[in-house]
Amino acid sequence: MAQEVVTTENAVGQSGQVAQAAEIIQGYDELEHAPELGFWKLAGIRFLHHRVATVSLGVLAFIVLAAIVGPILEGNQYKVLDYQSPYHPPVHLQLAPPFLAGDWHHPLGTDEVGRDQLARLVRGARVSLTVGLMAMIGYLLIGGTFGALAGFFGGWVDQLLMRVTDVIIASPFLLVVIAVTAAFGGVSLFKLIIILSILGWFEIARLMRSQFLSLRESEYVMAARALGASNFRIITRHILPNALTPIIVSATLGVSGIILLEAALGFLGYSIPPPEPSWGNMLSNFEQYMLGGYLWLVLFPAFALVTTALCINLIGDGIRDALDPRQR
Amino acid sequence: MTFYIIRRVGVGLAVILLMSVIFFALARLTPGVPFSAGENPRANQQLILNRIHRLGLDQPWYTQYPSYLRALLRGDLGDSYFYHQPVTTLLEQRVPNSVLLYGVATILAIIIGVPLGVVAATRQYSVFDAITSVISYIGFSMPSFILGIFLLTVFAVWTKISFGFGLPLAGMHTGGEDDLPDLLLHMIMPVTALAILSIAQYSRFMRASLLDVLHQDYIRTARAKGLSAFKVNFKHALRNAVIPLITIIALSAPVIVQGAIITEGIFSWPGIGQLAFQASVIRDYPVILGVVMMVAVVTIVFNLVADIAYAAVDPRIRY
Amino acid sequence: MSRSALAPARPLAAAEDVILRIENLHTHFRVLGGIVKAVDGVTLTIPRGKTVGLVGESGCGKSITSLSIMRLLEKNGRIVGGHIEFRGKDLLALSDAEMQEIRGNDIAMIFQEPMTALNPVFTVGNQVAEAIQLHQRLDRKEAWEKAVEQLKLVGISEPARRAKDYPHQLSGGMRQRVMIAMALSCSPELLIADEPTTALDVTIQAQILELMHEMQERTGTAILLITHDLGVIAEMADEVAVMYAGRIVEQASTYDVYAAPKHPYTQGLLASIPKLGQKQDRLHVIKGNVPNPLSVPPGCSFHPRCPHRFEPCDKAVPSLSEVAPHHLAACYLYPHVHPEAEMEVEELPEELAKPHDVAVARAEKHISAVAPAEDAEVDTDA
Repeated sequence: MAQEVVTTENAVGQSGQVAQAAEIIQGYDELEHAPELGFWKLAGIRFLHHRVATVSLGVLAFIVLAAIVGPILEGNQYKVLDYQSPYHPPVHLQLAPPFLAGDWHHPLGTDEVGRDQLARLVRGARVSLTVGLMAMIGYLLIGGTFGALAGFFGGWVDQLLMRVTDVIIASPFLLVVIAVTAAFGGVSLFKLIIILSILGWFEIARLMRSQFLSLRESEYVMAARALGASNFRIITRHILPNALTPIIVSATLGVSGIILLEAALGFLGYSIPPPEPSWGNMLSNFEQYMLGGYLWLVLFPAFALVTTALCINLIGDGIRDALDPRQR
Repeated sequence: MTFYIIRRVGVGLAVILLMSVIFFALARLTPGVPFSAGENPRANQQLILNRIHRLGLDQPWYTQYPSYLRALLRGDLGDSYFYHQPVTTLLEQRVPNSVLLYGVATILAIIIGVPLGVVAATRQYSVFDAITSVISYIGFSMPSFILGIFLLTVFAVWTKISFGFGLPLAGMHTGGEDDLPDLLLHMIMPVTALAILSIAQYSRFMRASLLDVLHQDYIRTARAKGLSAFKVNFKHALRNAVIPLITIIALSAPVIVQGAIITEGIFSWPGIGQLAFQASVIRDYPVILGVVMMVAVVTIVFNLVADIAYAAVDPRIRY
Repeated sequence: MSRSALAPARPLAAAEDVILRIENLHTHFRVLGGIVKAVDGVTLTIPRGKTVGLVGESGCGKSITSLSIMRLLEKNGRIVGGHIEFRGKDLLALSDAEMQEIRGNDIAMIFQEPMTALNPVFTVGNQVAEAIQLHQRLDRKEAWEKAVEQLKLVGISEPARRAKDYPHQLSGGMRQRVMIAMALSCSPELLIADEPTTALDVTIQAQILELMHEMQERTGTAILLITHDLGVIAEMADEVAVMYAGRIVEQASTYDVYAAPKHPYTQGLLASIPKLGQKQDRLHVIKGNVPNPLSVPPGCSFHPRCPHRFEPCDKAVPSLSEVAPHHLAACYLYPHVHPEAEMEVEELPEELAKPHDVAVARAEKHISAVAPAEDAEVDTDA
């Protein structure tokens, strides 16, 4: 059984190695092979087939839409005081005709000074989402930079950052934020974002640092260095894209944390001052509402908060599963 | 091993020192005059200035710091501006209450959360797993104060209206101080509000850790030896999976001393959280600093405990 | 489950001398994108006390075959057809409890990565003693003593002291010795060794192989040696089965396979090995690549790469038949070989798939349908 000798020149006349390569590729083409999908596209597909995460994305999109469009439609409704109709319940079913009670002017009811709850709710959505997003961007910019530098350069820079981070993380965060906010008197949305950004970037820094620390030793970084790439190029082109995965997940989950934090602050009265509503400060009178039986005034902001946080958490989980296919 | 401990303790002390400087500076540097809140705004300016001078508060902060440090080393945290009592006394009063609340919540969380996570991992993708996942997610998304509000509304007010019976509304005791059942009744709602988040965290984490371990090669070896599924899961897998969990638990311990500001507020529970919060508002700096320093010390101690526990449990780490 | 039209050829050993008989094994996996027929009709016999080598490239299904014997497949895998006869019983029909009795006791297995195959939180002595305690019903002390004895047998010095060490304190070679000790501690009749030396240095490799040979002589254990290394096979195996894309393409004594390979794939493999003293300008390659497990070519799965392919090769799967005395091959080039009858295999049930995997698979198929299609020979049945 004679064995075929590998020809060094094929029919087209290409010589030597090229001919061999061409033959191999040709042989390969004859076989079925799976379509090549890019990393991000594949991740996107995986995400979309996480039914839960996709539904959450839909709900969140709805909330965002409401937050943008709602205040435009409602205008100043949120602060219109209407002493004539305090404590109106929302539109609800009842046992006696006409079976649907409530005032369609105030579909979600009014509070003790007659302000429309629906308007306040959508405006509060704007506050929560803005704070969440902006503060997280702040965390990423400050924390990401410091963490990357610390992780990459190591040495005393790293040690110093780590000690300071340990200190800050060891402190009771809420307390510190309250103390600072209280010291400033009142806070505007902008000031609040700045304060949170300055106080909260340490977790992200730590995460970024550990990523850089481990990726710094990867082989492709060594290869890049051997090719003469500058530090800057290595950081931005090589390490950063690979470090992103856990950062993205952490950032997404962090946004929900910030939103809940702002709610806590609002509840205690240390967020945006009235009449500007935030879901937190809508709850600050909860005792009054609860004992008076005006449960809708407590229910809607609480429900809004939990739903938003839940959606963001589920989306974050979906992102984690999509980007890291080690199925759990 | 001992050298490691000594080194860690040393670093810990350094961190505490650093913290005291930072917070002291922060306290002195934030805008606002001490006593300006919580005091009679029409009080005599001169009296206030006298008091400030007497307490040495008009000196620059770096001069004030050494005396503070000296006092600190003596165990004296100063006196509260507001309560006019030594800070240490206040801490002594309040800390046990917080520990009671948070401690019970944490223990409950471990007892409930860890087995939930184990079962969810061993029955991956089952209905049980799905249900625990849902509950966990809701737990993550519901901050304790919302849950607290919810619990109060439903179980204290609505049930009282509907059924004439409800859980107590506030505080630690309604009757005498020694009434244990009364205390327990008062504890139910706040403990639940605090525990839910921890249960969600621990069960989720346990599940992830156990799943991770179950995919390892040595589990396959154990099965190839003919061990029953029970032995494989509970002897080989679990032993490895709890290692990171110990660290997590040890690191979340400091919260016990920190107290839960908002939850304590909602339930009017006289704990550290309440104290610290009020102090922050009226700028009662000795109290704020005292609380922060205490939390810092506890945190660092527990970090060390976590490391030691980890080294004890995982034979790969020996110093 | 129907059997092959051709009686399974077993020319290599008389029935009484056979410990394990695999007949027409089919193991399928449900993955993103469809069904992988990892083992697609494997028939193999292992005679008592002998070493049978199972050789093939990565992904050809040899590991899965061994895991199928031990029934240690992952959750998305299922044995959908065939028999595995051991000591007169069909292993595939046993309950979990009965199977646990056999594992570690009558059939033992060692794996490729000694680094990760031992539990890091237990001492090695503990882990060896565990199997002994379980299967031989000894108490802890006796089991421990026996374990130390086993460690001595595999050539670990100071076994009493070493037994108290943890896996991370041992080198790779020593860990593999521990694995062997653990596997042979209950005197199994069959040892399945899945790439036992692949992860080790060459010198350690030689030692481990030597050790395995020694243990075999001492205890009379049969060995199923799975590897991609033709050199190891030449060294250790009495018989060799060559696997490609889930099927056995050639099977004979080691000498016969190496001296006169019949199947073009085996010929290609052997020709690829550079030989000392032979002048070669270029290494021989087998053109093309191993097929995508989701879409194996029809007929003989090797035909797209085969330099001798001709008319019947892409029509039906050739059966493994005797083409020379005691030498089996599955290739139409030889006169007695004819197509295998259609197999009835159990369909892999839908519930085995996770819903979103199937959905993703559909999405990916949709994308590939939009992208320029390669050819119509798609064999997925998602």
